[in-house]
Amino acid sequence: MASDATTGFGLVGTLGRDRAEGRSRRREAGWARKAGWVWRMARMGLEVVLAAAALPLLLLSFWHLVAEHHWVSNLILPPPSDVWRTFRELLADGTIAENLAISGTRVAKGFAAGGLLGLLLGTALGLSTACRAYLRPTFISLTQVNLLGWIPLLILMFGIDEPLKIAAISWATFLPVTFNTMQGIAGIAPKWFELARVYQVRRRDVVWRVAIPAALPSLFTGIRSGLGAAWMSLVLVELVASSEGIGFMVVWGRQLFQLDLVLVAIIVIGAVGLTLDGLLRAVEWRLRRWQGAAA
Amino acid sequence: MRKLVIGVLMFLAPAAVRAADLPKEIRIGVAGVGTGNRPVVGGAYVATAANNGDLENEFKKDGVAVKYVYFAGAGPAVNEALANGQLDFAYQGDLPALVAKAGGLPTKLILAAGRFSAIYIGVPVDSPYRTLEDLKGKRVAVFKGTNLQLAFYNVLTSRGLKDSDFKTINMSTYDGNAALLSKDIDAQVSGNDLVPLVDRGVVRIIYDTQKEVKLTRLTHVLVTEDFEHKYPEIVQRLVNTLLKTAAWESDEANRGKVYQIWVKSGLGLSAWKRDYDAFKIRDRDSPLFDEYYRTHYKRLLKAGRELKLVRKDFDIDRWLDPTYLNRGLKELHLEGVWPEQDAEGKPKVQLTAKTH
Amino acid sequence: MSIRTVHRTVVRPAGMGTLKGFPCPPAMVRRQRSWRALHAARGAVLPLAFLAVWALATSRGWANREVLPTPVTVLQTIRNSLADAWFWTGVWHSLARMSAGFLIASATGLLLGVLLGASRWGARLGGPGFHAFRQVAPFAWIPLISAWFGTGESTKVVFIAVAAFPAMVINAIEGVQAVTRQHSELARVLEISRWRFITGVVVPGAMPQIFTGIHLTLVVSWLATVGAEYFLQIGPGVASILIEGRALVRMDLVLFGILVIGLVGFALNLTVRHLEALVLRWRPASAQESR
Repeated sequence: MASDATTGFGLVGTLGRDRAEGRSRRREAGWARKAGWVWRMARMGLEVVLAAAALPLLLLSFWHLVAEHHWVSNLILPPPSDVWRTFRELLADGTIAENLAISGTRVAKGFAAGGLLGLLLGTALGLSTACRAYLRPTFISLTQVNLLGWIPLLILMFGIDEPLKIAAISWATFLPVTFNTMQGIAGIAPKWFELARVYQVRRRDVVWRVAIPAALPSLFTGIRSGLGAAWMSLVLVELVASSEGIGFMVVWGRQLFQLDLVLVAIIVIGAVGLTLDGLLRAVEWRLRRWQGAAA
Repeated sequence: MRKLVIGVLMFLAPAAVRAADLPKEIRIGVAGVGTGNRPVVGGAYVATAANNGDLENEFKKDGVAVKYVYFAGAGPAVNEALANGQLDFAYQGDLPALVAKAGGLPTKLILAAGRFSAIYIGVPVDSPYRTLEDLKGKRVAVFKGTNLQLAFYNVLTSRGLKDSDFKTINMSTYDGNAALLSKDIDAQVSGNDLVPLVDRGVVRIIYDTQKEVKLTRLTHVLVTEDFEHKYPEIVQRLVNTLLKTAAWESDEANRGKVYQIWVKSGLGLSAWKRDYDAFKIRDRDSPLFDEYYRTHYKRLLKAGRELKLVRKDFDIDRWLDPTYLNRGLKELHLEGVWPEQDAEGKPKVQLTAKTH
Repeated sequence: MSIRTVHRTVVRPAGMGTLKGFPCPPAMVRRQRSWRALHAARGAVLPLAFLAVWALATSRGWANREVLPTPVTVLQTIRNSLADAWFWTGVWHSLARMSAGFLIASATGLLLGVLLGASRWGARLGGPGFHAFRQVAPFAWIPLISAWFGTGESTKVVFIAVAAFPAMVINAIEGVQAVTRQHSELARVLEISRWRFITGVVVPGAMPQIFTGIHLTLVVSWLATVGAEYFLQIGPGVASILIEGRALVRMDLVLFGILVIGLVGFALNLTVRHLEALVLRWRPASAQESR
């Protein structure tokens, strides 16, 4: 049969050919596998981005529709084009940059102060049961009252100028940082401390080399919450009593019924908040990887 | 039979139409509150009418309720309510009304309420600042979005200063008073609510615009175009009632009584005397859309545009609608009670008619 | 600071007391019990010290009498306010607003949370948007909400709902995701319908976390209520105490306001915790461990 003939002779021949084909196929498969991998990652990335953008785009088009057909007065819901135009104008004349800079410095100062104090107190509370026994109940009850409740008190104490804002932001940062640090350090497995004791490690090294690295994940959660709280409290404080800053832009827009200004300010606030959060997450991730690699 | 039915229908129809002609209630927004957030204000015949219940009495016979809503957030808060269709009429100041109209809120001014309203700049009594220039770089509380802001900016422009020369902080009149007392701010720009603090000896007024007509504020009564379309007769009746109150108020013989009514807002007699003694009430609270009022409003619009507070230009003459006012004056024979004022605020003709 | 005190759980054999981990006779136990009571009271040292300093400062005139009232003044203010019907009206109104906002927030938050947690596509579509929304401080929405809803009660309720709803969503997501993969695989093996899977496995499994979510949402609702009243000052409410205190420069009113806010928050906390314990008591131990 023809097949036999081909098989008989062909088997050898095909074997050879097969091997050659196999090699080239494997080479192709190698390329294709790599290319396929890249292609798959790209597609997944695209999927994620598209999915993420789907809802906002839908909202945007709905917004545009509502504004265009005046289902709601333009005074109450300015069309997206107005908001975009105002945004460009304010970006161009530096208003946004100026106000962001002012708000940013406030947050930086408050966050630094509150974060540092929080780390210190949190470590103390985490390491010493006695400390915890004396201070923790007071601390927990102070956290019951939201910053807004403290603001009138802070105003009576600090006035309404910069000190008030820094104080308020520091307080807002201090609470989550302390809490998470305390949890983190108190939650360190005792075996590490026992090990340190066995090796007769100095107290200072115990804190630096044992306690803090082990508590780092919680510390970082605390810092991240602290920054989020700092940014949110900034807006709150600027809404109450301010003459400049991004929160003040919201107030200005409200008083002068320029809701597009309010929307621009809100979008900027959200964007900055996202960026800060994202940055910290990235840093945390790098640290975790380093920690994981080291361990 | 058919004739009977038609006859009955024709009899009932006007009643039905009349019923449709009446709203359930009339909602009036007032841009301001009394001391301690109480729902009473003073100054201008609108406040007097609210205190006397003139409008409630007028509409009681038709079963239409009159609801006053007082806003601690002043003009801007009234704008929010208007934009949401929660008010029919508003007693408001110049800047917020300009801002809203430029933004597209369909309103119409039907009566002028107050004019020549001064602003006062107060500092703590032991403060070293004597003039406005001394306050450069200091914290000044201004209620943004109200006619106080525009008047303040006009003052600054007239002296070659700018908003950025100061740290202007947005505070309501109430908060600003408190902040002045606790020295959280260095100065406050406000109305005659500062006078009680001066009497107490805790505040000193370093500047006021009583003598400078071009730097004063205006207030008015406006109606939403929607309500006006639906119930023009109600608008006319409201205007007529308010004109009657205004005429009573403009009689100099009643000045004492008028002050007593305004004192109910919590602001003492001295505050009203300081603000109103230099004028005839008839001149301050004239409801006419005369040359002064129109020109001043155009001035304010221009200033607002230059300061980027007001977004668009619009026709002031069309916005100030004198039809109801004129009809009311004619029907009540009140022409001549209020003299027309020229662009500088001086009366054009001598008063001959007597008020009644 | 003692490293030994980090782990100090004492195992007590019945009938015997322990002193520093060693068994000991009853006489020593009695002494140790009173000692333990004193230990527990250590938490009160700081507040008491603070009160003492405060009383001293005001009586000796170290601080300005105008600004810092004496503790007695504050107590008087508290007594007067508690007797005042207007105060109780305010509390009632605040609680009513809070409940309305809280209910809306929990319901929508639960729905959205389950959607985002259970469905991968749901998470992809809604997740980033929700995350971005969460970044905006709730109070920044107030001007918009008040422009959109006017000056009535609805503005406050909407704001409370908007502020509290993220808390519920996050906890609902975590709760749903905590339902382990084994559960879902088991469900697939047993061929349970999607609906029964969700109601029978996911929701009960996520219950502990959902309850945490309810707890947090309630806390945030209360704070948002106070905030809404502070910024949109129409109608009676608890925040009017703060507002008046600040405007009249009366520290005693401000302190009273803070006390009220804290106490109500604390009471709400306690109520939810008890409810949680009650409902979750019927859960098997494993579900509670998964918390």
